[in-house]
Amino acid sequence: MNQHKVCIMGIGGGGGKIIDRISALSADGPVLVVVNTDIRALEDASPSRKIKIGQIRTGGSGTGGNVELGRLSAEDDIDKIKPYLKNAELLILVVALGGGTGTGATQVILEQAKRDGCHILCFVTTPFTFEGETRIDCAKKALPDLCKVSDAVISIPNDLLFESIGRNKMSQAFIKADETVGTAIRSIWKLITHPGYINLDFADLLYTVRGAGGACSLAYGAGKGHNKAQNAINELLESCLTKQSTLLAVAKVAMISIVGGEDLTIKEVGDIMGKLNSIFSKDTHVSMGTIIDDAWRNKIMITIIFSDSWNSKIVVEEKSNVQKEEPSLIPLPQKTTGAKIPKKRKEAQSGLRLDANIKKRFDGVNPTILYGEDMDIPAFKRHGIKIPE
Amino acid sequence: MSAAIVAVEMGTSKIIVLVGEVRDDGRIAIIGVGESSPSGIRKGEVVSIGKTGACLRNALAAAEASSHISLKSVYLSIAGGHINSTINEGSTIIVDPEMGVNIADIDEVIKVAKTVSLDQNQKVIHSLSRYFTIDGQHQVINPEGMEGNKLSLEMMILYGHNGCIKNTMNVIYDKDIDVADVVFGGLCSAQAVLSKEQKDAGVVVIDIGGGTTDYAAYNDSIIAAAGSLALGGDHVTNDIAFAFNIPIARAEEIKKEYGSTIISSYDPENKISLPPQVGFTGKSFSHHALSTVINARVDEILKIVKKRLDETGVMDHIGAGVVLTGGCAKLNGIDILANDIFGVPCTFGKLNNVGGLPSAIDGPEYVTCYGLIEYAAKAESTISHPGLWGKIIRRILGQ
Repeated sequence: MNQHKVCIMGIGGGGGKIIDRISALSADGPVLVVVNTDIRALEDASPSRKIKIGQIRTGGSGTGGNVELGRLSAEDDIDKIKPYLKNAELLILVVALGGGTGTGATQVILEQAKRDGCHILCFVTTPFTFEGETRIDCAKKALPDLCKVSDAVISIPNDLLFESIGRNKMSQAFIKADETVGTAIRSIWKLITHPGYINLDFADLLYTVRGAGGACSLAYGAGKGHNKAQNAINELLESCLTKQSTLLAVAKVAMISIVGGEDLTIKEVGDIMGKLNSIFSKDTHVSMGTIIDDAWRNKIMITIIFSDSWNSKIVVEEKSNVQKEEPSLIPLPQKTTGAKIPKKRKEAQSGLRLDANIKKRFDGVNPTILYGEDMDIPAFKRHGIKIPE
Repeated sequence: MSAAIVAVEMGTSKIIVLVGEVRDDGRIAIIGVGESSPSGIRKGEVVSIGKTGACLRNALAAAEASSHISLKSVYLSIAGGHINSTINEGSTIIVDPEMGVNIADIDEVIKVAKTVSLDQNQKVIHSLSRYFTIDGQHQVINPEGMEGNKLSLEMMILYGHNGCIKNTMNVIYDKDIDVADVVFGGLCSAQAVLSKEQKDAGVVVIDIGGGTTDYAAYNDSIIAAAGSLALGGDHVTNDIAFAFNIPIARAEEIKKEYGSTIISSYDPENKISLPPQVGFTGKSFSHHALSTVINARVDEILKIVKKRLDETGVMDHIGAGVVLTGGCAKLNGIDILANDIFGVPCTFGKLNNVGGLPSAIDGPEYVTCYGLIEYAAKAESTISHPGLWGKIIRRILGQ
């Protein structure tokens, strides 16, 4: 995938801070965008693209935790965001759920992205327990909605994220946490835009996350020095995000990416995978990839996306659907050394399937186009509503 | 007793012909009924002239047989996504300001306000007077005798695609039957189910039929908004057929038998089973899944109507709420869903002025036709009153 076709968008204060960290990690790379209602937070944010929303409603001072206000703000200013969505094949959304802008605006932006045919990957952090019931409830309510619209949601509970770095000073703890999530997102971006020697791509990611019902957990470990592989694996296994590796032992599916410099050796990769495979149970579905990034010379980082529930049926169904959508008249593109990614959804939809099946009843009649949507396509399909069996 | 009035509605699910008579007490009695399907019509527009012609022939024959009247001339209701409305204003200088506005001035301003520039292929269906303005004094209902220099009139112009309207009329002409007038279906439904009190307080009537959803809104008894969307029960059926991969005809049966717009709670035991038939392997799915599909569609249709109404600002003046009619009004729970969406009380339309109905034709899908008969009856009665009163009524009716 062309790296410029990936847009990483942080929404709200929490999302914006993580974007800051990503931009600090790399000068080049993905299109980074921060969307916020709070002008001051935007002034702090470093990436070049900043989108201010809801100026009229909030006066530029944030939503004060009001989700409805966040949603309305995004609806008002969706035109400012649209150009980024139009140009993106993959949208990676970064949100700290629980706040007004993060929770409210995200849903609006996701729906627009879906209409624009983006693939959507959501990274969300959920609030600390001590932040109180209101914020936790708010995040809990929002999460299923995100799963409905997104291709994949990876959620990271702040409680777990901070358990390992909780003894640090508060300011440092937050920077560290943002850096952790930032690095994880960057490694995923790298994974699917840069071919490594052992390749993982967006299709693998979707395979992992969709089978898990759309929501996964994330853990990481980093190490440096002579024993960098060992250090990284130790950190991962002792990490609170894996609950001292107990979560890995019950994982049904795991996708592992290993980031290293030019000095990464096959032995190190072998050691890491050997150790992890000994922890996973036999029927765990494991996929892995490596990324060579010279910023990581003398360091190794392991990022793992995993879930304790996985159903291969869901994935198989999805795959067979995809095949139906694309008639085999056109030869399928050969898998190259680069990462493959399914065609933009919009293009796939304008193909054979719609005319043949979906709109059967309305053959030979003018389509009902209202507010830019073809209303003859089933409403539940356009709105991404899943119909249970 | 006056002569019989024949109303024809060429709907997407069926063609309905009603023959009615105005009794001495002013009520309407239905003396003949004919209906037939399939109609060869989609979204209110003729897609198969042959099919529509045959269907109309059957419906007319049935109506003639049951009413013992030979049908010569009919009123036709039309609908379709091509129908839209616009507000047009016209002004004229009052000829003799000191004597006040006279009939000639009113005629002149009506003529001017009716003149609207439309696309070549569009045709005006109705021009409905809203308010007169005299020298900046707004919202005058009857300006006759009032003093001033300049008289303006705001009119709602309902227009549609010329080709679509002609296609529909041609099917009738082919049967050597004359079309007395063409009336927008949404106005017919309003005529049939709305009371004067409702129109005064502000009300919206939404007629969700098979192929189209027609709406009309009134405020202070004056038309405030009207239009038609090429969305309806057919879309619900199509969604069901696609969601569960079943034939359209089965989907239609399922919709009529089990259709609900309220998402029922998930219960895997509570299933709808379709037995296998020739060419169909059988299928079963939950009530929950079915209601989810229907809810998504009906919710969307109602929200689009609300959006259209919001654009005109009429929703702020809806004291009497929303009245639902048309075949889709039979979907379970649609009043509750509409109530949620519009935030005002939603009720089902009841016929105002019709007596002695056989129960077989006492459903919401017949409302448009009844309304058309009433509309026609009013129009015909004004012809026998050529004076001012007739003129005013004709203006209100938009003729």
